[in-house]
Amino acid sequence: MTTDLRILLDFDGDRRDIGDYERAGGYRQLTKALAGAPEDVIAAVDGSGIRGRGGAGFPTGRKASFLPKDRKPAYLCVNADESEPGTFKDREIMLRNPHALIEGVITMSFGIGATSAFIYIRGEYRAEFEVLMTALQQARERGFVGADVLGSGYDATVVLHRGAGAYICGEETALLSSLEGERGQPRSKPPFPAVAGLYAAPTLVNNVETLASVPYILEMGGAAYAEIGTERSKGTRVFSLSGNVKRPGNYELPLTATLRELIEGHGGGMPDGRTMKAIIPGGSSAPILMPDQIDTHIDFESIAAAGSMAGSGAIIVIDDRTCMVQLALRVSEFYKHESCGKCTPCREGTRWGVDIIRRIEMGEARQGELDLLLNVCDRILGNCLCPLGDAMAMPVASYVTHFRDEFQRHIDEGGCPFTEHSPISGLYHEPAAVS
Amino acid sequence: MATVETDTVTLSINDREVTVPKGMSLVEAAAEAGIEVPVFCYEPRLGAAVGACRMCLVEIEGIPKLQTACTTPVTDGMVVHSHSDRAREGQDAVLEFLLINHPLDCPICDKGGECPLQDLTFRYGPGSTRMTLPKRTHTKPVPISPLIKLDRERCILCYRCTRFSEDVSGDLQLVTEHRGANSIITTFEGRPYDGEFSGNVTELCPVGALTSISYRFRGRPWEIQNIPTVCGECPIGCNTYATIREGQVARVLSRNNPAVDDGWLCDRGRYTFPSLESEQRITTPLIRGGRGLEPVDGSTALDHIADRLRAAVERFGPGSVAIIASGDQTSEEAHLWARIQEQALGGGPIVCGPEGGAGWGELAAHSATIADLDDADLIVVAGATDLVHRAPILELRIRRAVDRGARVVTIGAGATRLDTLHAAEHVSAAPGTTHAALLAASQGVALKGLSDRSVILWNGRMSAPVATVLAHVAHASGCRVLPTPLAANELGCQAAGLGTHTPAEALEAVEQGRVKAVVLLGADPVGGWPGGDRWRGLMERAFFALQVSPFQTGSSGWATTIVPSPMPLEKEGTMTNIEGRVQRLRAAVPPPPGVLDGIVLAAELGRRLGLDMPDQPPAVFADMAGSRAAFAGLTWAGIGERGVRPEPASGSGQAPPAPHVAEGEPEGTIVVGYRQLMSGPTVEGAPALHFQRRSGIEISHDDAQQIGVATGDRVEVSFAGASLTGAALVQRRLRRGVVRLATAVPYVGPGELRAAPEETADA
Repeated sequence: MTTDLRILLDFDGDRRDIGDYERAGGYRQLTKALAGAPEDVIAAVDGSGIRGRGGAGFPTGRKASFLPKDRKPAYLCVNADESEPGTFKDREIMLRNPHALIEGVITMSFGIGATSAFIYIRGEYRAEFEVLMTALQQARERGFVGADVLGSGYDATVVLHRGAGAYICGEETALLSSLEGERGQPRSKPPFPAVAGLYAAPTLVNNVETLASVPYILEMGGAAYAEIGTERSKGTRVFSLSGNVKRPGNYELPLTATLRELIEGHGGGMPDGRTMKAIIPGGSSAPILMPDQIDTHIDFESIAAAGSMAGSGAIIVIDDRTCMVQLALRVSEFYKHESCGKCTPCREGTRWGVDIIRRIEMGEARQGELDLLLNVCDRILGNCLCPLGDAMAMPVASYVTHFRDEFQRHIDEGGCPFTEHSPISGLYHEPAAVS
Repeated sequence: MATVETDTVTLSINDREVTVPKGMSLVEAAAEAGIEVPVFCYEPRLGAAVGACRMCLVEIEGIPKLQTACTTPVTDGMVVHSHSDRAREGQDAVLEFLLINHPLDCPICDKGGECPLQDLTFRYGPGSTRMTLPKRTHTKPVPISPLIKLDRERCILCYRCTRFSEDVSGDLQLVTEHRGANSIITTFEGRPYDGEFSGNVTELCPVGALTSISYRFRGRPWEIQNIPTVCGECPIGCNTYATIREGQVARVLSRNNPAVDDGWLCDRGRYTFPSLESEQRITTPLIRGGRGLEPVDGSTALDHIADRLRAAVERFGPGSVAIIASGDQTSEEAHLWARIQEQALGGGPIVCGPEGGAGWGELAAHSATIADLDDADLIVVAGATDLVHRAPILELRIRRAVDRGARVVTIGAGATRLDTLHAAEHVSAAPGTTHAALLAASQGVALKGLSDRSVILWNGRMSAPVATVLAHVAHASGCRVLPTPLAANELGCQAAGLGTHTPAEALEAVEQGRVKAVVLLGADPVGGWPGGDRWRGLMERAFFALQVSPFQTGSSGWATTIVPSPMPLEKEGTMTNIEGRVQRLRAAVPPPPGVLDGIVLAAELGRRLGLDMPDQPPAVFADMAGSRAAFAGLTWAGIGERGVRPEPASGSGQAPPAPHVAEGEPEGTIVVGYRQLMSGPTVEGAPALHFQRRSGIEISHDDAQQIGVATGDRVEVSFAGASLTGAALVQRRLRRGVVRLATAVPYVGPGELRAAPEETADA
């Protein structure tokens, strides 16, 4: 099976300039779509079988079909708040192919009958924001965005909104709250955004990569796109490969590839003769896979069957020098720091979990605290308002399960056997407590 | 109106089958089945459930994860377990997480013993601790206002208080800062929480984090008694509990009556109880003699009063005694005093309250209930000032109605809080002509859609012309009317016969020389009524001037005899609220020694004047029910815990006379002086409340430009022969030509506004 099929990023350099994009066939699908019925757009997306590229992998066409047809206004929100540690694919798409996103946004907005779209971009993505601003301006000048798009009578407003530095705002309901000017905190579902989203109106929230794929899906036709990939995971996906590999970076692969093809083929394997200790297959919130699982396919089902999740498509390779307790500490500290504080298990559980892991690393933990840690994770898992708590509990529990002896050694020996030999030693920190 | 419930679902909770309306949450459905699901953040009065605390996790067959019962709507055939091992594990987990940071200082916590966190930990929580980390610490307690202290260590971040501030009272003052485990509750920019409803957060708080300063360290739940009574501070009559410890009122809590208050209290109702022990209270009868007011015992005072009143009638003829009442009396007190006036003193004028409202009878057939606001599709609020000053708690009900989709139209001078409600419409009217504007609006497009599902809230003085307009509009459209009497029991007093004349009519009688003696019942006409000078003239010339009052007031200087009276928390009796609901007051504490019970005072006086009057509240009530039409058919025992609202007289069904309202609008500056919520002797006696007083002279943007002042600059207002200087408060939405300010004496009329010279240090 070929692993070099690329769709979204099938070019060198970038197509920031609208001329480059149009010469490559850009904005033709929007033109065609506007001449047809909105339902045709949704039908093509549905037929492609594409699943959300943000993390949850929900079928995009089905999600769009949940919007009630009779309630206006409806909104499209673009989730460009890419924040999951290890994930940097959306920024590359926005930097290199911003017009694909804009074309996808307008086309999809037309499809769901929305006349306003909001792109919620991660605050730290300053360069990407500038690129999108310029691209939007070009698209406006060319009549692809604004009132009466290409003379079709369809009006499309696009608002580019920068986040203020909160991971949680990548959660769709928190994103909506933040857009509305409220605290960026998730809302209980139901009601789902499709029914009561932005300003309580029907709202479709899609990831950058998903929407940027839409013009290509329309170009190929839904059925042709559905030819690529596996039974239930269609198309290509941009994977962010990082950790200890020779050639880290973004790689677009069809969803038939394996982790080995990505890590050893594209990434060049581990440098300096290191051996692999573990693989994080879907962003830092995913449970780890072990080296013997490297032949796992990278589609949603295969990774789930292997005991983890495809998540945001961020693959992080861990080598043998790495202390798993330190890794657990870094990961859990991130989620503790980003916990919004709305629901109890996440707010308190992440703090408790971090504290136990820290004392294990420092050699201050008592016997039995490993089970306490697992139990705290278990008590967070599935009990929170949104997936953030799970995002801490799942990976930490998987580290302890797979490397229990290593954790136990910290307790038995009263400290970290890796100490400074670990490449992530000392990188964790305790954010100053607010008094 | 009975509705046939067809949209129901049947589900099983803990093996109990229950059929409930569609759309109900699992928490409510469980309650229907008699099953308690533990909750912290769930509070239906705060709006839609948010699922924040996760306390109500339950197991639903077919769903892998535990679900929060508060946010999960019931579905047909659902099988729910709230006590299964998995559900209990989830509930135990949430409690353990909550207790991680909770200081467990229950032995010295005011909430201890009546604390949901304690109770739920006992029933659902872990029996021991596995704590391995230091608890989060904060500076504590932090006063967030002169009324409330916040202990952030006890706070479990359920967000009830911030939701109240944002979604119920709309004051937006309580907020969350920071995030995650560092989240704290605080006030916006650290300013004092200054809102008329702030005290409600102390009751909403499920732990001892938000506490009333006045109750901190004052009592333990096992050494207090909660007396169910009714607030006597305004005519809404919110249902309350007075907490009694060692014979003193220690706090006032809400006693949720959904038909009246929905479980909310305003801060005046909650925090004025310290005035019971105010130094300003009169605690002994006083008779003016050669050396001024001299204390006497009760019996001497009664003999003296009876003698003087008898002498007045003998010397000047029947009807020469006027009774000027405040309208804060219980209906029983009112009935007895009315009997004295009618049967022993020859029927002189009786005035009830400074507005001495007339026209209530005309409106009876169109009377709305407070709960009508809930279902109203259109709520009209007509008046020149903020509703909060006359009917505070109704603001919360209107806000909720708007959230549910009701339309609000305000008619008045503008710049009121209700004007800023989402989608509120405003009809500008010059003060004094609001009823005319209402009539015009009802015939035009502004009030299109006025129907039997609409309510008009008349937020101002009731008078015959106003009543005529309201009755006319109500008759034409089918809408209902909720007037706002000024005094707490104005309607009850009037119904009990205490209120036969308007103040103007009484003054006329005085000035025609028909009145020679005066009895002030709680009223302070010299200090706080329009026409104070004319009232003073009456008292100066009076053959006998009796004041019955809990406090010395501006009128006391002209009284020849003063008798102290109890305050509402010391009284047994009934009051009739804004919607005509008769409610029971229960004496939480006895009046101070030397203060005679109000009913005993009137009955004893009546006896000395030859009347046979009962002196026990139930007997007085029966006597009243037998002779006053408004109380006919009511029994003392039938009033119950929630009060009783007799069906209002249905009226003749005939169209009321067409109102004639004066054409044209007043010229020049109109001054609106209003009695603000945080004023009056009870507020005086509760200094902690004073920070909530509104100051400043509200002027319109145009007027400010014209006289060249900005907010904060000093302006001078003259009206009714007096002049007043204060800081200007420029209001963009205030009608041009209107100057609005809080005054001791209510006033609407012409005046003048000008910029005042800056005060200089040596001026």
